[in-house]
Amino acid sequence: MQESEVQKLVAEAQQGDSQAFGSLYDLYAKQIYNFLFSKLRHQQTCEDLVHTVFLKSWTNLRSYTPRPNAKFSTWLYQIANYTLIDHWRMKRPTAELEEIENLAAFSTDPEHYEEYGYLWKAIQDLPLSYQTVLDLRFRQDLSVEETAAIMNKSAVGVRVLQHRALQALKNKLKNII
Amino acid sequence: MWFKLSPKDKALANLLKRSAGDFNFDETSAKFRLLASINRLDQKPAPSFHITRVMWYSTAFAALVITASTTFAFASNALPGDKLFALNKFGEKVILTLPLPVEQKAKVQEYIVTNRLEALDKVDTEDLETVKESDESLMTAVDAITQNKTRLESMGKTKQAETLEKVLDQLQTKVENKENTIKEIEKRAKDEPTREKIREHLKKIEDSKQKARLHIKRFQNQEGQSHGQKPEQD
Repeated sequence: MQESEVQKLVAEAQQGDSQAFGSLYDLYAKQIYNFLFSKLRHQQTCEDLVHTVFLKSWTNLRSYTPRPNAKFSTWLYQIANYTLIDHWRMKRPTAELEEIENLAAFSTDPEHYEEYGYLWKAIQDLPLSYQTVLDLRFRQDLSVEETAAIMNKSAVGVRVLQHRALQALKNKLKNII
Repeated sequence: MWFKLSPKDKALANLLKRSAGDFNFDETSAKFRLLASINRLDQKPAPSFHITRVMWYSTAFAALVITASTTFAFASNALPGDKLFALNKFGEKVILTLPLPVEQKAKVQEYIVTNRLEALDKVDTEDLETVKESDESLMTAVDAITQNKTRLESMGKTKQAETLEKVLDQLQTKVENKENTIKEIEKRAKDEPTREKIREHLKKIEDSKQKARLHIKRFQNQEGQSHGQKPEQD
């Protein structure tokens, strides 16, 4: 869907149209879920967080103002990232998340995830900010500027973070392979 | 450039891209839950409180404070007969209603009377209003200070009472110095009715001065001898 059509739905949702907001949910819920699941790896937690992200975006929808370089999805990812960071701070040490679920078992294509199991294992041990920058830049294929907006960093800051994350991932892979 | 991906980094980035895929997610039931939550909220999206609105309120408040304080600052120098004098009097009344210690209030009253008496020097011709304000401010100040002094003495707070006595002493000295000025104003008055009114005010000013003196120890003996009476008890 074109960004202009997305903005039309956003404008309708801003007027209180929950159906339009439902359409926005249909467009982005899966992406947000993938973004969260790749880090948290717990189905129920991620479903709850997706719910939280969209509820937050609904209640703050009037504060969203479209800008030329900021898509609606960037704003959603921003909320998702803050929600993830909050959850990470609060819940990470608990036993629940230490029992990390097998990614392949929860993927739409288990064989595909089995193939890249070693990569997921290496990423899992990286700091959250490294995981986020790698996910946004390479898996979600977002630009440096979009990633910078989501992570509340400068473009240079994102490039530095990306460089460090790739170095850290290479080191992890050396140990695994 | 350091931020350009090296061939190894590019290979790793491609590997990451290829590893991307979807996870199982029951979108329908999650959507149902979300829409139910939205309906429970039973509200449209909360109105945003843009920073511009905050800035607008802040600017308006700052402008109001600046305007009010500037007006009061100008008014504080207003003399009887000036347009802002009423505001000046209002400001003085507000200050006197504040819960200040009696010594502090007495000093404020002395300041007010001093301002009124000094205004007499700035009168070019006859100015009944200035004389009237001098008379009224002095009478109010002397009444309030003597009343408080008597109350403090009855409570045994002699030190505070002495402070008020000093204020009364300063007031009566200032009035004494200005009596001739008022007489000059009276002489300059154009007609007899005005002169008569100025004389009436001068009489009241003298009465207030006498009342103040009755509460000042250094005058009590001579006043008592001349008038054959004790200091007035309010």
